[in-house]
Amino acid sequence: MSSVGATRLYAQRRPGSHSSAVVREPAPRRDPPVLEEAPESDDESVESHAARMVRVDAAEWEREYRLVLAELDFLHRALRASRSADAEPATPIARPTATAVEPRDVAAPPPPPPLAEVYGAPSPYLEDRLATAQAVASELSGEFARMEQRSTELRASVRTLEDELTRASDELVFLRERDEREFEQAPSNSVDPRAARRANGSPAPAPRPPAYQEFTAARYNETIRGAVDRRRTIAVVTVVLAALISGALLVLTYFAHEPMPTPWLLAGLPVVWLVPVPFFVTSFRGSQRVLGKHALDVPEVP
Amino acid sequence: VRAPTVLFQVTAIGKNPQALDATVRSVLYWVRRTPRLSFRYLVWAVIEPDGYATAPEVYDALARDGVRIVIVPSDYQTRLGTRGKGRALQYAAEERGRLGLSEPMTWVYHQDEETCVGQDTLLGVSEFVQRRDVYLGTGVILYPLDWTGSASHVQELTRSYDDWRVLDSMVHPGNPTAGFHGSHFLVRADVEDTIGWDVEGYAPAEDLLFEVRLRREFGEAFGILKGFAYEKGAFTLQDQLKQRRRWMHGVLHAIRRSPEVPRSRRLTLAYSALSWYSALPSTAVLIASIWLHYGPLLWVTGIFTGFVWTSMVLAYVEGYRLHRAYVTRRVSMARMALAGILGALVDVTAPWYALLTRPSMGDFIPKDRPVARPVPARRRAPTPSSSAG
Repeated sequence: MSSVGATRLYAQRRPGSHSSAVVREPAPRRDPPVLEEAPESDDESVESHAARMVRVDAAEWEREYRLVLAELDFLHRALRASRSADAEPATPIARPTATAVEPRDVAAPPPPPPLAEVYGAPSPYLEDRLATAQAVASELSGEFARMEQRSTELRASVRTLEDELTRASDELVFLRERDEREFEQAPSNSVDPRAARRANGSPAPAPRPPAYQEFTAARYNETIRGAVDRRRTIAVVTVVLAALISGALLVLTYFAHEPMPTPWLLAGLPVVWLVPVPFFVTSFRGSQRVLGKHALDVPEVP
Repeated sequence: VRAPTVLFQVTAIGKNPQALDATVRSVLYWVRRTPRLSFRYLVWAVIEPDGYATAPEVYDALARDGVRIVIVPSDYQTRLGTRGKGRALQYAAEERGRLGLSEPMTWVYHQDEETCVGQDTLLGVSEFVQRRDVYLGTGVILYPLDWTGSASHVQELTRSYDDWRVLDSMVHPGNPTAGFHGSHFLVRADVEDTIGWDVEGYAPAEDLLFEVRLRREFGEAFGILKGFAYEKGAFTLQDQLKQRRRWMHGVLHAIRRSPEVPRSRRLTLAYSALSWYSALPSTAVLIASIWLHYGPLLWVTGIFTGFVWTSMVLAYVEGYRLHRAYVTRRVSMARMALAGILGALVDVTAPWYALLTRPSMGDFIPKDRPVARPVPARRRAPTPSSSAG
């Protein structure tokens, strides 16, 4: 039911003066549900209007029925005539009218008509549709190929995962065995140290654990954070100290009143002296830049 | 979904088996104790037959623990005939190719025989191999292993601080101050194997040539590798001198006999060598000025002298601060200062020493800690277990 119809029905069901105002309007011809679903009412005018509408519809339905039968008979004759067109010339067939309806011949069923007549001429869009269908089929085929490839990759990944799990369990077994060995080899408190010394001659020093066992991520991060935190301090201290030392040297030179050395010494020795200066400057700048720009921490390990 | 593979490759002669053993075991130790690593691992020790012969039991034990011991055949020759470490590296690269490991999902972490890793190293590697924009990364190296506070060890502190400069230079176009490492660097296997290590003859600075070639072929594909590597300094001043001599020979070789090194890089290297060579005359002038009275020179040089001196002291101080959490042995400030001066004198002498002497092919720096022989017990009482056995 349309929303308009529903609203109208709701308005008819409402009690009061508005109800009578609505039903007195001429009922729309193309809205039979309003009539079918109209509530039972005591109003006489509504009753007579519905009865009249049913009568009108019955007459129309009868006329429509006859027209449809006449149309079907016409089509039947036309198809039979086209099939026997080669054998004998077709007689003109008059299109029936509503007033002249003949009884149908149902005793001998006609042979089926040619497909072209049943389905009509091929669509002009048939080529396009076929091309589209072909493209879709090709795309589907590609998708299936990709799915197969992906599936192969997934199988390989699963194999890798299984390998990793196998390795992990192997390592777990190795670590457990190692821990057990270390536990068994660890010195026990239950042994009397004097008895042990007597037995072995002298107490054997406990083997030092390798240094690399102390190289943890936490220690690294602590060291790196310290270097990064000191960066600005280093820069300031370096510049200030350099200025102080250079200033002191210049003051000493000024008050020393040294004799001027020979020109070749004056020209040559400063060159030798100043050669490494660019290296130290770039080194200082590079250190500051690396510590300032790059995050060098590694993830913390629990 | 497939996880990258990281191949921890220790390339050495193999004559320091204890150091190499500790290096490999540091990898095995931490890969089993570091959660959330995003890679699978392989460990290779690429050594010479002579090295294997020094301690076969050590290498066999490593092999039993899953390490692949790759012994470079004595008769192996590269196409261009490179010698030294480059030959072993090239052999390992070809071996990777034979095993199908020369591909983008495999990375090679290069270690010297004394390059131990920590948990931080592995986490840095794990993060780096997830990146798609870089092919090679390197980081800071500390020298805390067997640290004694000797002059040669104190001198190594400055190298760690200088690594900040190295990293900064490496990630900038053209590597303006020629910074790189021969160890503690991670490179994608297919990239390394494309570049290769094969050069004509003996190249003392194979790492420098590798970096130059990679930059030429792949552009600015360098990144910073988080996490430290942990190495050890030379035990004696003589070893320190020999080590620095080798470096200087590498630099000179790259300047004079490596046509593939671009002109700009040669200039940079020449400047590095020159500034290193100038250190000894500068020191001599400084000492001589006490008697010869070059005072007025300070009108020219005095402006920068403060900065140079401060930078040198800063390198020791900050280098020590980086090491402080890792070294167990404490030394006094005075001893540290004296050791620093002595170590610096060896460093400034080294390039001139390199001009006068040449290293031999069998020259290597001992990295196994010299240990005192245990004193045998004079008289051992029989133990229940020994008497029973």
